[in-house]
Amino acid sequence: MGLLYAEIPLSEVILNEPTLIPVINRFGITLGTQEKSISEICREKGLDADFFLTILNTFVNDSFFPEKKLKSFCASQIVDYLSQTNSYYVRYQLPNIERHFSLLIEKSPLQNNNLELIRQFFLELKQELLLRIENDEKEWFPQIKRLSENIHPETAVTSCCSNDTELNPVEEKLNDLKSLFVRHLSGDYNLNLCYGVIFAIFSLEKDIKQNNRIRNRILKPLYHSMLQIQTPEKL
Amino acid sequence: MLRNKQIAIVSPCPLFNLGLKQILNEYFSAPRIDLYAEPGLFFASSPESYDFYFTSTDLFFIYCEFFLPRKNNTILLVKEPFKNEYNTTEPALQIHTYAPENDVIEQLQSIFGKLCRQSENKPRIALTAREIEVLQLIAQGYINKEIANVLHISFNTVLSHRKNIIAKLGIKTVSGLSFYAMINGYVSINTNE
Repeated sequence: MGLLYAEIPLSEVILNEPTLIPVINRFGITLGTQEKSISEICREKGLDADFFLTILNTFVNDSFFPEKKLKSFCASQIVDYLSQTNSYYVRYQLPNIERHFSLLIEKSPLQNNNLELIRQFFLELKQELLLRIENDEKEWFPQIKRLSENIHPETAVTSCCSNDTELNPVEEKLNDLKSLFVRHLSGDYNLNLCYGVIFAIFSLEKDIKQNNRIRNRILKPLYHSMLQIQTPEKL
Repeated sequence: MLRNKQIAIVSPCPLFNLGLKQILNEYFSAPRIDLYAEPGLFFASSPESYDFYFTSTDLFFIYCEFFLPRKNNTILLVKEPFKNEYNTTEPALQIHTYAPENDVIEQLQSIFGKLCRQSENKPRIALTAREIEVLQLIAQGYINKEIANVLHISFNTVLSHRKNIIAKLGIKTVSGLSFYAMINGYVSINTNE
């Protein structure tokens, strides 16, 4: 999909790209948007239209990542968005995959214990993600908000290199989970239910990839920059 | 078509590079395409890590030490059909940059079809006995140095086996490899508890 702009009706965007529904939910926007444009809806909801549009565009277009633009936003805006994203994983996406998985195992022949093993791998991945989320919510995000209250956003210039290619354990495990399903699954299983699980995994992976781009290339450098400003004697 | 392939475009015009990248993404689903308008940046990265290279004839000759050994994976960007000065029996792989879009796509299709068939002519082999041994030790929690000691092979050989295992299975993490090993009975399920 091409880049989105403020005057386009949000309904048109969603009809073309339904994977954006959870993303708009994070901003408190639900379905039933009629013909209202993105800018209208943002005005009604008191949202920063620029930020909202930038997030949608980075989600929809893998190769689009307006780093400068994202860095111009306030750190707490980014933290709030990521916090909503974490909440979505915990409340909906992870339980959704678990539910599908349990049903798949329940409806598949008992002899196929491959599925149970793959489910164990998923549970390990889930635990890792939950730990990261807990650290975000209890430590990292509150620290960033505290730092940003004391520092003018424009002074937190991120000069340190951002690393989009740094190893990300959750993404790597998601990739392995896909491989285990798509390349190595054997035995009998319910095809339709299996598709449901795989689809949910792909959906989580896409979301986490976008999330990680913002964490690694925007929030982490911003955080380190603010930390340096706060503690200049460490330089 | 280009699953798991990594491509480098080394050519001085950024806009041209973007256009080529766009075509490769749209029609050939290449997972990774890196653009280098400056050769210095290309050589400062890991230039040998790519599967295919696109470059101009000038840069090919200037950096022939790098590209010549890789001529079978290097596609020249030429304005007109290029005469193979090396007189090899195979013509140099080339894309005519002034050709219409559809012709360029057909040329790319033909080139990638040939290149991918060459790499896939290698038989799809399962893990070797040694690779299975390495996999079993990984699944049991051994680190590379320990694996080298147990199997009486060098550390680098262990790394090489690991790289092959990852490439064959499409699984990178230790945990993923462990579960794969359990699923396939290379280690018992209790091993990981």
